[in-house]
Amino acid sequence: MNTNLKQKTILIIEDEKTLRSILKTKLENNNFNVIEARNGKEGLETSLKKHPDLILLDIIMPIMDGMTMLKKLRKEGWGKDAQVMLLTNLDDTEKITKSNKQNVYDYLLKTDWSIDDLINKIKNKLK
Amino acid sequence: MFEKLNIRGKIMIPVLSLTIILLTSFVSYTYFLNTENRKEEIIREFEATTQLKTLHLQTVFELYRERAMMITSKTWLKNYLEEYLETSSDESLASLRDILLETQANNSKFLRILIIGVDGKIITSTNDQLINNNVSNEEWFIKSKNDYILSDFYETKNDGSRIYTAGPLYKNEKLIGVVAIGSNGISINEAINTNSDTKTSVETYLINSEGYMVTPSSFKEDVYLKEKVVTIIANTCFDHTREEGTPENHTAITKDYRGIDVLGTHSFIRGMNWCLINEIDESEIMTPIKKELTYTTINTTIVLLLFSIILNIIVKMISKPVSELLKGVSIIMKGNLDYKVGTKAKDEIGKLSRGFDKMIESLKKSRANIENKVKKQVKRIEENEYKMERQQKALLSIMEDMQEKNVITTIERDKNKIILDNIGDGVFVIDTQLNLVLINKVALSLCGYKSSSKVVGEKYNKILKFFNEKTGEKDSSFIDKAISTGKIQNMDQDIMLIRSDGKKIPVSDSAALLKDYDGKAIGCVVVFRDITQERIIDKTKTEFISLASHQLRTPLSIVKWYSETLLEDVKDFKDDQKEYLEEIHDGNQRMIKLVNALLNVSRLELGTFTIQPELLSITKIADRTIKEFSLLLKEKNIKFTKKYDELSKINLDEVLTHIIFQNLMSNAIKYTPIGGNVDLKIIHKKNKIEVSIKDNGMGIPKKQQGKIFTKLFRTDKVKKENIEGTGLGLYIVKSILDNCGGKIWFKSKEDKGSTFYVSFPIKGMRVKEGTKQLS
Repeated sequence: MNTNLKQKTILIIEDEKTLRSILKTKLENNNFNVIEARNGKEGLETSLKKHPDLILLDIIMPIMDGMTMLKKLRKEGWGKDAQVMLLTNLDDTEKITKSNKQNVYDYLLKTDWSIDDLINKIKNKLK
Repeated sequence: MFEKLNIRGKIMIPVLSLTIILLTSFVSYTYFLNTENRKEEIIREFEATTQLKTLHLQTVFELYRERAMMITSKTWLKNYLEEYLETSSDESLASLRDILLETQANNSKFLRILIIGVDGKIITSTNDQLINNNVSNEEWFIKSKNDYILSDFYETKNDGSRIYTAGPLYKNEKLIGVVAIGSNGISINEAINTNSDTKTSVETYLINSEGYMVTPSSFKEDVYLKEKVVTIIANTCFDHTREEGTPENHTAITKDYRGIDVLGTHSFIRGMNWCLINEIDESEIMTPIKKELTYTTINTTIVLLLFSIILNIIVKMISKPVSELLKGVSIIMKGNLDYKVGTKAKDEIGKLSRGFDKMIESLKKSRANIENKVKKQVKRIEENEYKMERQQKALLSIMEDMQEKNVITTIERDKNKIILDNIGDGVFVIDTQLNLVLINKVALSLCGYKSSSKVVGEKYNKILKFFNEKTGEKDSSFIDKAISTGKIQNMDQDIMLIRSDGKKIPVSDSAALLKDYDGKAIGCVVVFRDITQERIIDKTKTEFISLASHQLRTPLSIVKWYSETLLEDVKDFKDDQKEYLEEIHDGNQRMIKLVNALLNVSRLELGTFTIQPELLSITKIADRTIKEFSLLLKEKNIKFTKKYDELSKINLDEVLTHIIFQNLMSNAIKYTPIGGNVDLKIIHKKNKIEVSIKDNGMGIPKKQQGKIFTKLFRTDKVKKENIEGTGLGLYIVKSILDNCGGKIWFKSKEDKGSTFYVSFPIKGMRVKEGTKQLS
């Protein structure tokens, strides 16, 4: 109900501009408000400022990596319950285990997912 | 000291000592007294001789004076002188000289005669050279105007004259001149050196008022008025003339003008102011005294020697019975109880020795008694000794055997210890009570100890603290399990060892039960090693693989998502453009698969992948995979059948099981022509579950069947027909099955088809710890 009334905001934290760009286009086409960040540091600042409904988080990034950003986010008041989806190309059991401990249930490998399936997954999540 | 001496010594030493002291004192005293007396006697004698010589000298002086008187009394002489004084005629002078010459001719001792005027001028002389000389200042001349005098000695002139005798010439009580007679003074010498001097070194001489010798020396030549005598004797002699009250004689032992010790005395000749000095060498007067001492000493020594001999004889006589008794005692002490001293002496010592003999007799009797008893005892002891010796021998041979065994054991033990210490891994052994019984050097150093002596005997878990890194708790379950099950137990991957300094190190290896020959458990042996370095290397490798795959996937995902987006608007493209786009997309997909497959291969090869089995239905996983391929099956119009037994859930890793099905299904469809058949069967067989996937495709040529599971292998036919594939699928499947306890095999015939079989143990997959999952 709320979704109809208010546009959902998604924060993409991704260092690869082309990937950021296509995700933004696709999500905006699906009526989401999209904001971007180029690394963990920017992502953390933006999330705490804008309080997005969902954060799409890459892991390997310059300045501050995704796992560090997530750890810091979980320490902040708002960040404790923020919805985070890890969208990365790093398949690492350790990282998956760690991310589970940080309340993240989606660990998606970019190459495993077609862009449409990904959008559908996001839609389902924010329903 | 004195106590140690025998009787003879005790008598001899004091008596002899006393005698020597008394005799020495007596001799010394006598000698001293005698010497003094002798000296005094010699001095007295010497002084008397000196006086005598002085008197002789005085007599000679008188004689000299009388000679002068004799001439002055000559009337003829006075007359001629008076005449000459009045007339100064040459005739009277010649007459005067004639009288003088005549007088000289009559007296050989008159070397020269002078007639001197009152004014001191020599009027005439027997010696022409002296005429007209003036002697008015000469002392003797002045004195001779009043009296008959002797002059002092003077320098010798050519005629040998050395002394004048002078006297006045009176005529009618009026002094008209002086007569002087020069002579050589030999009479003076003769007066003081009389023949009565028997001593060889005696010397008597005169010195004038200035200290010069005027008589000849016995020891030196040419001393006349040249040798000045400055000795104590000479000095005291002249001092006596100046000081009143001092005796005119002085005798002393002192140095003479030669510097030799002499006994000297002097006598002052008044009127002449001369000194008569009489000296004798000290050595000469001391010789008889010294001789006397030597004689006395020799005599005393002889007396002493005789006394000692006599004393010795007497003492021997007294001590003989005592010595005999002593000899007897020493013989008896050596064990000869039959010896008898048997002294016949009737004194106390004789009685003593007879009593001693009796005492020995009774001693002999009691000794025989004791000996008898001792013999019996000895016999008994000997018997016992023999028994003991036999027992000892038996005991010794047992000990020797034991020692031999000990040596062998020690050698064995040392050998084992050397082997143990040189093993590169840590090794320790515990007994069933979990006490440490053996630990090698590597193990000691790994847990931070230096010496095994401190740790052996302790509970092993005090020293070797194993814990699980994941749980953070103590974990030596592998040891407990090895003991309880009797099977070799590997350590879990997360086992760490806490060293004595608190440092933690990752370790790995195994524990095994130790059994004796009867199969009874006696302990547990644990082998372990430090795997810190291995871990670092593993971590580096896996991180590299992860990052590499990440980097590869990024551009792949870009192409993937963009091509997908483009394909959505497919109506905007021409047919050939659409085809190109699809090729791009498919190629990208193949690349993604290849990257995943390569990543899996590397994880399999590194062993970093995990196997995390859980109770799952194998058919469900199979169905999910079939669903993934449904589109493809439809496209290729393949007739697919499946047949499952009724199966309960078993322990399976979902991801890995899925990979297995995926690969096998993919292959079956890929290599089967359109319209072919694929059959899947999952059946229960005894203690395993068997999966078979059968197709009627191209099959595998027989000669290449052996290589089918090798990495990157593809059959020639597949390559020829350009069928898409990585050559990694079967390799991955086999690796997974090898690791989780399953098996894979196949049957195939070229152009007829293949059947691939996979079996899982009914208890499920083996657990494997690792850091990475396969994808």
